[in-house]
Amino acid sequence: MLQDKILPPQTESDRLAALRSYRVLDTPPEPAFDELVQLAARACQAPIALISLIDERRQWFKAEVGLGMRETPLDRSICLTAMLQPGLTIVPDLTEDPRFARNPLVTGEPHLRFYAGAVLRTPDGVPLGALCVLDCVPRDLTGDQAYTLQTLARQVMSQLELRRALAERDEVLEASQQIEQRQTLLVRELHHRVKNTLATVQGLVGATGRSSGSFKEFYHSFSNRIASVAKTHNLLTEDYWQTAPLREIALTELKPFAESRRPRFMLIGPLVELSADLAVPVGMALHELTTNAVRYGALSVPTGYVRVQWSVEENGGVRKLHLEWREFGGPCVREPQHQGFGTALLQRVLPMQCRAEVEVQYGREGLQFQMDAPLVEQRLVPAY
Amino acid sequence: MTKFVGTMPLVLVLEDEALIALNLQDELQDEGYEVAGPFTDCSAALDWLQTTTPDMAILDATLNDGSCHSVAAELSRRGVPFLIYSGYQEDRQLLAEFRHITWIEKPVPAAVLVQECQHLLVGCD
Repeated sequence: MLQDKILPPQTESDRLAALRSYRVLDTPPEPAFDELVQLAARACQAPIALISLIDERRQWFKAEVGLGMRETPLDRSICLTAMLQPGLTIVPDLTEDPRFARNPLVTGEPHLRFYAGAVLRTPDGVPLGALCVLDCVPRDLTGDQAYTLQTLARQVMSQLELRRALAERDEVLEASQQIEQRQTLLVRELHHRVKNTLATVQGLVGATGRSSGSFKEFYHSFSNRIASVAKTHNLLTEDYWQTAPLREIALTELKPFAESRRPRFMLIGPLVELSADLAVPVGMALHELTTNAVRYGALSVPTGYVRVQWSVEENGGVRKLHLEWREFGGPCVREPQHQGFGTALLQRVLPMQCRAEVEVQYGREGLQFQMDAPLVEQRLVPAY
Repeated sequence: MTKFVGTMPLVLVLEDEALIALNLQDELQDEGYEVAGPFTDCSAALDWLQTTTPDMAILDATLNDGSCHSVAAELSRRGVPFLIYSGYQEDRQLLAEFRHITWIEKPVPAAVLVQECQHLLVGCD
């Protein structure tokens, strides 16, 4: 309250920020500062000496002799007044100065009578408090004592500067250690992913092999599947969330048909960013659907076309993606007699990997596929 | 081929990477095993374990809902042999009490896994 009257609020918040930057408030006593107050008390032949720092609602003593307190409320602070004066403030008799005569430390214990304080000023000129000496009898300082007190005040500031430089160095060191740890974690995660990807590719080899009639067919399907997964990965952003827009994923598969004079596909839906955990399986599904449509479905005849439509619905705090693939104008399709890789991917992989509900229908007009899957909003990768 | 005479051994598969899981399932079925699952998280596997005990199990070390520890502990309690199929070497520290269990580092050919399954089943006879 008191300082609001004296200091304009803006500069006061800057001053407090400067004080905090020294990271000294509420730290334990340190010999370097204790020695400086002892020296001040001795040189000025005063029973009490303090390094007082003016905080928001209190004055806090980094070091003190003779008072036996670590802090007082601001209304008892004489240093608050001294801090706002240039250089040295000397009050020969506090009981006779209207600014301090009613101060509880003057009217009551320990009945202070004499005050001399040298302002503690940052190199930028911001006052933080004062180095002061106090006595219980009215008196004055000699010229030498006044000079010594001001010199010691500058030494207090030097110590505070040194302390801050060390604290900043420690913070930088700690930050760089954290970066190093984070990097180790990422490298480990990368190793894990590479091995997992290899295992997934191995699964893909097995599944493709099981549904291929010849080596040529295997090689063709397998390399196209790998290329499709790689294209989805190209779309993923490089930030922590690693997302890709659904429209682009679909477009990657259907691009060969974009140049056709007759429109062969429609992409209808809002902008949805899929995180990697969903983007990759959805990309694979769209690849299988496209490949199938080209071989047997709507894209195998000049008049057929595909409509891909999606939406996002929120239910009970969970956002769900609804994705629909519908073929029109193609030959009549029937459920395949044996489960190929495409069918396995749609009906087994998507439910397992994406917790998706999947429906595949073989109709007169062509294949219809729809899935509902919760959008992945969390990542298993450690945050940074 | 290691087709079994009589009943097919029942293998629980716990693996959250669907392509890996399904390939494992197909390979095991080709070799005459019956597959329970594949389960993609521990809680689903534990639910299933409430009513049935498999002959053995293949566990991924880290699942969508955390390490496979709870499932491994339950299988140990019942004396069901299992192996851990993981890409994470560090998981060994997390699952220190199962160090004596067969660890297979991803990826290996399915045939190797099937062979290990056979060893486990023979070992417990």
